[in-house]
Parts: sequence; structure tokens; C-alpha cells
Amino acid sequence: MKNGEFPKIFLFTKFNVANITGDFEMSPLTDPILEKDANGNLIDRKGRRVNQRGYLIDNEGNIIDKRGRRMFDKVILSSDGEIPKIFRINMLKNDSGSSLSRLMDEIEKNNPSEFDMNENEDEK
Amino acid sequence: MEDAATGDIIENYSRQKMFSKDDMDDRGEVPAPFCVEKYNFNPHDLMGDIDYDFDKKNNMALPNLLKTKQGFFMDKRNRRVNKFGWLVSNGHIVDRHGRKKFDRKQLDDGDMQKLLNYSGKRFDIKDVIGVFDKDRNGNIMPLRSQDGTQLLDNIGRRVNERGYLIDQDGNVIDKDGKRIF
Repeated sequence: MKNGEFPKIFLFTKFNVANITGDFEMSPLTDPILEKDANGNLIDRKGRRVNQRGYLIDNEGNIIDKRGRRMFDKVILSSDGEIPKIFRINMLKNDSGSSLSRLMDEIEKNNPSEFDMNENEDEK
Repeated sequence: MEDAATGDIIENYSRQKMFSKDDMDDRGEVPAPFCVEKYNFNPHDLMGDIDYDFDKKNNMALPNLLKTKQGFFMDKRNRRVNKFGWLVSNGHIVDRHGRKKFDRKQLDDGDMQKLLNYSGKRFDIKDVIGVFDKDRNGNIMPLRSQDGTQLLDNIGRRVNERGYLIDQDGNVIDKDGKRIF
């Protein structure tokens, strides 16, 4: 929690685990096969720092996305660097950028609520 | 809300810049982690100023709502609320400043959809918040325990400074004492 406030996660919250996952092969036991840099830090095939679960991380161990933005603070990760279960069990809307996802986004954009329409009219 | 001139994302009430246009992805999504956190809010800011009756049998605080002759629910400050006590405008949930926080299409018969905790457990946000009097600015006014070390809600349940029910270790719990966060 941050300042006594917990994250509000709804079923319509979008999340795509691919955005925080490094590039690596998986072992038959589904463990990521990772390399190490000269300093002993785990890295993926593109040389980016990852943790033992293969998630992209910054120097402090916080999980970041492919654009380098912090996604998960280290304190909420499990001892083996895993993200919370809710983000791993495919319950959330996958922000995949797929054609279907884009179509759904377009539908949402093309059906604004009355409130939104009023706001737009006010701006005009 | 998008600034028509710059393309930046601005706050719809204060009009302050929230995200630069350059920070958005190619589909206009706000940057992570805000795409996950963008729905964060404090429920007390979205709840009317209401008195509650306490149902001891079910551990539930039941909103004691005022009603107009036309049948609309109101809070103690004559603001429109729905049957759950959420501040509403045109069916959308708004905060105490009148800013829309949830579109009515996102609601479940006027109520906020169930939330998920980190384990995937679904819960009703109303089950994890205390009930309080509010000051003139709409801020909750927790009570103090006799020794002054703990914050309490009007029913005497331990809460944190954000108004969530907590256990002895500060974990957020529901009305039945089950740990949620």
C-alpha cells in the first residue's frame, strides 16, 4: 500500500504481462533461462536487467516496463521476484494491442457517455 | 481529458497537465504504472455525507439516506446520491468536487464493481471502509481510542488514516475481519 491506500484493481483494469517480461527462453521446468553480466546481474537476451523470474527491473529491483517506467515496487514482489497473483492468472483485461483489443477500444471511444458528450459540448 | 491545443492529458477538474503527449503510447494509453493505477481513488471522496445504522447481525453499516418528494436520494448536504450512498451525477459516480470518477456503464446497478486484491479475491469496497462524520470540506473525521494511539470509525472499529478497516498489524481487512491487503 502507498500512504495507506491500496491499488484499486477491477476486472476492467488492463494489464499485459508481456510489457514487463524480458526476452529469454524457458527451461522445461518453466524457469527462465537467463544470463549474467560482468557484475553478476541477471540479464535477458537483449542485455536488459531482469530478476530471477525474468521480469525487467531497475537498479533497485523494482519491476519496470519495456519503456523503463516503474510498474511494481520491489516491496510487493514475492521473495523470488514474482508479481502478485492477480496479474498472472489472466483475470484482467489483456491490454494486448491486438486487433480485437483495438476494436474494443474503438467501440468504447465511439460510444461516449452522455456525461462525456456534455463535457465536450461545454468545451465548444 | 485531452488538451485540444497540445494533446497533453489534463485533469478534468483543475485542468492541470497530468501526462505529456510524448508520454502516451501509440493508442493514447497513459504510461505504466498509471495505466494500472489510474483507477486509484479514496472511496470516502466518492461517498456522500451520510448517517449510518449498524446491522450487528451482518456486520454491515446501512446508509440512512434522505429522500426528496420525487424519490431521489440525497446526503446531508443536499447532494444527490444513489441507493448505495455514492455521489452521483447523471448516473455516473462523481467525487466530492463533482468530478466524474466512474462512468455509469462501469457500474453494477449503480454500485461500484467488485474489486480484486492481489490474490484475485473479489471484494466489495464498502466492506473495507469505516463510517465517519465528515468535516465541512468533506474529509473524514476518525475518532481516537481512549489511549489516543489508534484511529477508530464511528462504530469503534480500528481504521487507518485513509479510513480503511485494519487489523492490529495495519493490514486492510473487511467487515468480517478477513485480510484483504
